[in-house]
Amino acid sequence: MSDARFIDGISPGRAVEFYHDGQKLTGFEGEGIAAALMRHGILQSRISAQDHAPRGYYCGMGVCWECVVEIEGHGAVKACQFPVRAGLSVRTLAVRSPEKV
Amino acid sequence: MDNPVVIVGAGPAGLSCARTLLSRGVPVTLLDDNLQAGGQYFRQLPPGYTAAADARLLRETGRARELLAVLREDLLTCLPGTTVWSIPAPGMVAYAGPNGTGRIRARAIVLATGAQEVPFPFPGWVLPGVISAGGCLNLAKGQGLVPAGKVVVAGNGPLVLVAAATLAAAGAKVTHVIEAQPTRHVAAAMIRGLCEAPALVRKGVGYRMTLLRHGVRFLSGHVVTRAHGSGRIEAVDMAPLDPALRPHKTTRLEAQTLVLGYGLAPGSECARQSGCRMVRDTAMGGWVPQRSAGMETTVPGLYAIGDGAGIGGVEIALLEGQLAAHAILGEQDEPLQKRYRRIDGFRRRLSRAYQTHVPLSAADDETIICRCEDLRLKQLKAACLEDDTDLARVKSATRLGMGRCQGRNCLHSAARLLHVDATDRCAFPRTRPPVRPVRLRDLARDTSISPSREPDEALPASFE
Amino acid sequence: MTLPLSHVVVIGGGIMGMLTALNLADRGCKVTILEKGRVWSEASGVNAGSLGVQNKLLPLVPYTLAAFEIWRRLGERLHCDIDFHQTGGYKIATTVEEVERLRKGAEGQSRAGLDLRWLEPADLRREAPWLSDTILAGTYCAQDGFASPLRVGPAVRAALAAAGAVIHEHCLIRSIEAGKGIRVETSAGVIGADQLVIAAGAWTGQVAAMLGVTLPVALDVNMVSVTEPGPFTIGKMVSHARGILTLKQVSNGSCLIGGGWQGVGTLEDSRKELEFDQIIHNLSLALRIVPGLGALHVVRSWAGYEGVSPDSLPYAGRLPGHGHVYVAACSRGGFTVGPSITSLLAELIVEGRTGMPLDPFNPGRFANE
Repeated sequence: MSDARFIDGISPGRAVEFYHDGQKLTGFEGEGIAAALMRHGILQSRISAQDHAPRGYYCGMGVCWECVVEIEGHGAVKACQFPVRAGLSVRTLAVRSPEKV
Repeated sequence: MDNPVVIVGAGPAGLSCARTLLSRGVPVTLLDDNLQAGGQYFRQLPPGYTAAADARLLRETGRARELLAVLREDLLTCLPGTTVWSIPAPGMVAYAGPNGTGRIRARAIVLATGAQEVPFPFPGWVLPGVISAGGCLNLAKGQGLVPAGKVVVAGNGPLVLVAAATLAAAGAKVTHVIEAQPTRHVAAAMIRGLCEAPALVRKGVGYRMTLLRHGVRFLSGHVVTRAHGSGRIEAVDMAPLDPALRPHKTTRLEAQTLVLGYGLAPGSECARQSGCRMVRDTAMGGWVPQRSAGMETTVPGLYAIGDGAGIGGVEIALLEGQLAAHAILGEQDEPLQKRYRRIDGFRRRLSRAYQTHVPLSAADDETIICRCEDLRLKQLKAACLEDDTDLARVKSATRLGMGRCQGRNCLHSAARLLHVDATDRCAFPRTRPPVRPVRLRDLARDTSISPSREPDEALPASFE
Repeated sequence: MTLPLSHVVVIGGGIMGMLTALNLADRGCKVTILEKGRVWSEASGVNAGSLGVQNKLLPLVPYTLAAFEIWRRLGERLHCDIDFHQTGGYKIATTVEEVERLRKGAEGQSRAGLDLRWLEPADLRREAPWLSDTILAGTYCAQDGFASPLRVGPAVRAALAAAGAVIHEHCLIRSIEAGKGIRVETSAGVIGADQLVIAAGAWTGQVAAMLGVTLPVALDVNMVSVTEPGPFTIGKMVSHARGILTLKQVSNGSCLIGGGWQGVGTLEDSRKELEFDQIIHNLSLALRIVPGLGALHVVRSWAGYEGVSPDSLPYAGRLPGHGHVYVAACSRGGFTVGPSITSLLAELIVEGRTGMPLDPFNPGRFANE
């Protein structure tokens, strides 16, 4: 199920394929990662550190960091500001337990 | 570029200031955290997207096109996707980002850093699918998207109407709009506004008409009290407010998206960090830099305009941009000052009309206040047992505000809910660089720094 | 009911003052702490939490090892998870000169009883692939680690309250008389006691001067930065052969980066301002040692005051010329060695002698210079 859809009359750019937690998804050139995930019914961008609860897109303007995801080769990235690109590998951000060091 | 005016923020205020300066032959460097100029109000679709003439997107295109034309000017240097992380010295701006890192010596610095959403915590507000009014407008204007399921819009202030009308017009299934302030409190300011800012009043009425047309229920004097759902929002509780503004008799509404607009606060950390005198002005959204008629702060050569210097919206921002530009050029423009004073009067009246006589709250002890550290209200209260507690103390005791948001998600609501109100500026912990998080490798790329003064190597590492 | 042994007034609510007080309270003394601001808000509260032995001066090594013994049990004593982890740590060298310095230092520390392993580049790559492959040599010590100053402070405060200690915050000292008894005139009134402990950190010189004693104290304005939480990669504490870097990843995944790079401020102006260019040098150095740090956002930097004696060793013992006045202050690495120094000082106050000698730290050692 999708959580967001294009407004009538809006046409996106060229389609590109990217990966989210290993799953192949279609985005559009220039589209924000958070927007692309929402279109695919994915609201969760990170897992919170203490409660291990899902969090997602909130302020949408780069202030709150709730939509932060992990991108291979970049690190933690705000999904509201970072556009998808062909082949981009996006992962749900979670802090893994220190016991595993 | 030699000695440009440096403008931080490419929203309406920054663009307006840049346009006036460029038209007079003054070189300008414009920096913005976003990849595209426009700010929140003139947010643009990604390059490569197209909007049909009849696209159901409520947005201004004419003024946006005109303002964004400055990006093609030869005298403009634009650094998008760039974070300004410090004003390290008078007339100096430090920036960093994947597109470059460095310092710019400025003839004048103009802070046009925009607003931030004021958090309104209640049980369930951290669930995915609960988004801010600004965030939902950015989805529509910046991504061409609307939420797919049922939408409830709740809040206090003009932004609630803007968000709800934009979503409804764009085809979203907005079922309810929940405004905390009874309409009668706002009506008087709107009537006065007919002379002070008729265009703004017309806009507001237009938004209400849009909601009517789309069959959206508008409830004033109500507040959202809880969001339900497992892993994502599924339903919302709302309640009317009693005379003491406590919610009672909740009603449950189904919703896949909840949009929150409980007010805006100026994003003024650059001003605070550079030592501007801050004054508390509730009609402007809280602590704002003290400014002259030419928008200059108490730090000479440092100007602050737009929502980042006091919440006022796009018309105020555009005028303040021009006023700052005139001041930098050493000019007076009395008609412009006059227009500004009129609309400034309306802004203050409208802001006060929406203010509730006691702070709104729907948070209980279990409500998460600090999203970064998952801190609940009861944990913060436990750190407040001494009477001289301030936010800096709560911060070190609980890690409040120590996450990536640097306190932007939590300090406002913590101050309000803990009654350690910001009656003086020290109530907020000190603002130090980096005023926004910066990637370490981007900071390390800064080659304009002074020579290294290594700690005394005869001695072991100090400070552990 | 047993009467208290004596009443001790402690000036200073940092780790030295509060742990001395706690040790004294545990030994049956009545204690009163006077703090000019809030307790645990200066160096003890804002340091980066390293518990290192490899970065200590040679005379401090045995005291650091003794402190580790106390640190290991401190959480239990305080009934609090103080986020204490003895992770082990690397001290690294990146130039030929640094390797020489590291080797000399390690030889001395080994003779002082420290168990160190010498590591060649190949060993480092195998054990710690997150370290840069430009590192020429390292030593490993299993005892290095860290604890959270933010957790220790409130826990010590609570333990003191439970032990019946009195804490006066925002209490300014106006004058001190120390004869047979102690009489301290403060903004909160006159307080009499049998003994006095000066544990005023960077302000120790000012307090001692009220008794006519000169204790030379230099002021460092140390800066620390912290990153957002990252994937758990850096399992060990990292220090530098030249003492210009400390680095660790704490239990929430954040990396703390310090090393004594200097900010701006004086005791009079309380500025504690960042000299951010020097922070960038500090961060760049960290990045050269641990390249993976580059992907993390720096979220906060801050500065704090640290008082340092001329030889960087603590002042701990009797104040010269005053039989009932003691000092515990001004050590580099005060957070690490605080537990053992304060335990010894409490022993000295109550029993008149100590298990380990405090002579190297005699507050009178610079008197004739």
